[in-house]
Amino acid sequence: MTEQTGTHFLTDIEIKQFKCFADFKASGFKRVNLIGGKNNVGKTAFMEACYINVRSKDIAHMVNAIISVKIQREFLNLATGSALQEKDLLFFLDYYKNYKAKSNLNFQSFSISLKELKKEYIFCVGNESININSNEISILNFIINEKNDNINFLGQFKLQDVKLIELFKNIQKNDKENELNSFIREFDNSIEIFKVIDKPQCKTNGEYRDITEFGDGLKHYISIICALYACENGYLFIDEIDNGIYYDHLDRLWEIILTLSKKTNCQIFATTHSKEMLESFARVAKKLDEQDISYTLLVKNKNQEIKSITRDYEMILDSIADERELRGW
Amino acid sequence: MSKVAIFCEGETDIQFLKSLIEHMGFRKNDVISYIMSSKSYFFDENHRKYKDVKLETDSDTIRKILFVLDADDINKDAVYGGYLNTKDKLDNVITNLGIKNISQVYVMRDPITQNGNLESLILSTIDQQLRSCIECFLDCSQLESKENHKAILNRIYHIVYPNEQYNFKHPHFDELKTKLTQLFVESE
Repeated sequence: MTEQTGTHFLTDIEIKQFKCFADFKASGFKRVNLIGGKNNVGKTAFMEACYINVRSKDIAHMVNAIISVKIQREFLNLATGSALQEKDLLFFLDYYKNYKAKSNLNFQSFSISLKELKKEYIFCVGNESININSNEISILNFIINEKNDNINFLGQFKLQDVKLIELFKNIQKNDKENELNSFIREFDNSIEIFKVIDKPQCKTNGEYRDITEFGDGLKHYISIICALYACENGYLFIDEIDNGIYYDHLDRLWEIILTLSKKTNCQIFATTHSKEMLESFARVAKKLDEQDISYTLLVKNKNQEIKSITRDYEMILDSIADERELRGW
Repeated sequence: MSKVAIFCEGETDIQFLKSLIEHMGFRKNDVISYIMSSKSYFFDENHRKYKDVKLETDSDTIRKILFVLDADDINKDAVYGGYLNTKDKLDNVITNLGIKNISQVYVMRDPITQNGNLESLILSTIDQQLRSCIECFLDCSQLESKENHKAILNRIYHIVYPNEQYNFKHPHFDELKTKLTQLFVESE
């Protein structure tokens, strides 16, 4: 199904009371957005806040978004259906405590109220709100097993096979196996073909081997390409995009991301703290004249509050021309 | 750690400023440079480099700014030419951008004539006889372009003084050195 290009994109967001963000604003997002900043400045938390915001079209989706963020972070496996218990879900919600975000797309808030030993989980999405007393209503009632999900978060931890298999289904549905294999051969020309035979496998020298034998970089690379197809008219969040990817492959990865995200009308948010990744991003965008990009630098001001500096295509190229340090340190 | 920003007209200007910064014992790597390419862009409040620096100052990543631009000649440009016109017009821009309290302006010129540019400033610090020769050569060259004069002067200067930096001890550099000191010291 086609959608008018970019109408669903997140362009600005205000985040309050979520993890390290007390009162944070960022704006100027485009189709492909790279997020940078020093360690522990809040890059991943920012991505999580955006993920929850774009995913939470109603209360049930918001509950799922908050829980799945924690699952991504903790490298847990929801998709196997390995029986998440009510107590696990409540633990996840308790962990986040608060969330309040307003964007060009939506407004949501989540908080926990403790009154007279009664604990309530309060969710609000737009004009809809609900107070869930965990003693009266099971949070499990809000869990959705969504098929054909076009909002994905690739965390910095090793992707579960089950998730890669799920993403690969979109390649198969779109008959893009040949295209994927061609991309994979550019990454490693010893690989003849990628397939799912019970598990993700790559064929080299006529023999299929488990993808785990090839290192994290390849799996990450394949996941990104599969996710770009999966997230048609949606959103893809990639934490630590350069994880395990050799610098020689960075330009090609950006070419694929910039080209496919345009084709699939997918908005990308990716984090990095690598100077090479940022330079590659700017270089490839310039080469392709791809102006629908931004680079957001997260910094702490003198009061230790997190602030954002978002540069568009022109500003990115201008900074490079003047040899200003875009990365911020 | 916050940095300082210097706006200047061209690459030659920033190279000169960085050599002076280094001479003064400050860290040239702490400078974020914005090269405007043309004096006229300094007066465009909507210039993308101003948007860029505002993002930085709003986030406290840049705490002080020094604008360095040529005075040029009031006889050739009655509106923007000459020291006072240049300074007044740029002060207005800085006020309108809301960065007055963190900004300083240094207008490059011959301190005697109050006109000119970086090269006029450098010329004003060298021996009178040599200076007359160079000025005479530039006049005879009939190359009217300011950029041509800059390139020729730089070349001549380095032929005459192959092993030396500029004469930074000359009092004509004092005003600029004071501005640079304020830029770095007050930022620490």
